[in-house]
Amino acid sequence: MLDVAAKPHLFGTPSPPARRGEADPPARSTFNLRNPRLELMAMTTQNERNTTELMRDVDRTLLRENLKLTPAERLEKFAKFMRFASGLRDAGAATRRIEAETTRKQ
Amino acid sequence: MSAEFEKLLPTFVNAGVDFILVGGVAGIVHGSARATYDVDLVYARSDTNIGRLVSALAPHVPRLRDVPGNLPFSWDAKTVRNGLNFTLTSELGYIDLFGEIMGGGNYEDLLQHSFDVEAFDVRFKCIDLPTLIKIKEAAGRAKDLAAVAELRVLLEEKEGDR
Repeated sequence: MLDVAAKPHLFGTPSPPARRGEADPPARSTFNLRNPRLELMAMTTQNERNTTELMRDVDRTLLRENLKLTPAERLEKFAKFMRFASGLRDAGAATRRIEAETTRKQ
Repeated sequence: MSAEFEKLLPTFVNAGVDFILVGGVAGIVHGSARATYDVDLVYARSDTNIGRLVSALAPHVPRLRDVPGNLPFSWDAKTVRNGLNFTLTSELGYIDLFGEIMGGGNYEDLLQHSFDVEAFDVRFKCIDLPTLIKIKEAAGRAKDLAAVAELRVLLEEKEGDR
């Protein structure tokens, strides 16, 4: 079963982990920097901090398993996963169609 | 709709299109575990290559993605020459074609940062991991932060193996 909490990297960008007692970093607008280059630098620094935080949440076991494969094997594994996901999507769509028809007949 | 990598990459290779695989699928080549639904390619902008690219994709009915369906769009060499980057949907799935990419430059710039991959019975070029990270960082999108984090971990793991 696909577990969103355990595999957030498969389901989009997770939020950076919040730390208790620590204030959120200032929003971009509060930097109040008039120089666009300085503002870009401030943003880059913020992104760098976020990336470093996110690195702690990366599931290294998954990556180590992938690294044992050749690039071709990694692509084939992914293609297989996409076929599986596509099969699930089709099954979901078929179920919704049947449900809609049943509801209509009632 | 997702991209049919097994068909798309051989389609371009067999047509002699010069391209470099970048983006999420390149991440998978490097060991990423993140799902992606499109194929990102940087293509050479020479007239010959544009001609090959257009011919290879034409039978698969490419259309602009995320635009109103009634917007006129003609997939031909003139369109590609007059444009640069194209976000497409086709019978082979979602394809993003880049004449130039932020943080990486064009096909010629990226060649020295690419390597050959053999998969699906064809050989094609893929961007190297440090350059892929650079490109994702240059994009600066919030959604790329987690991807960059994973790619950096991959780089650490690979360097740790040496």
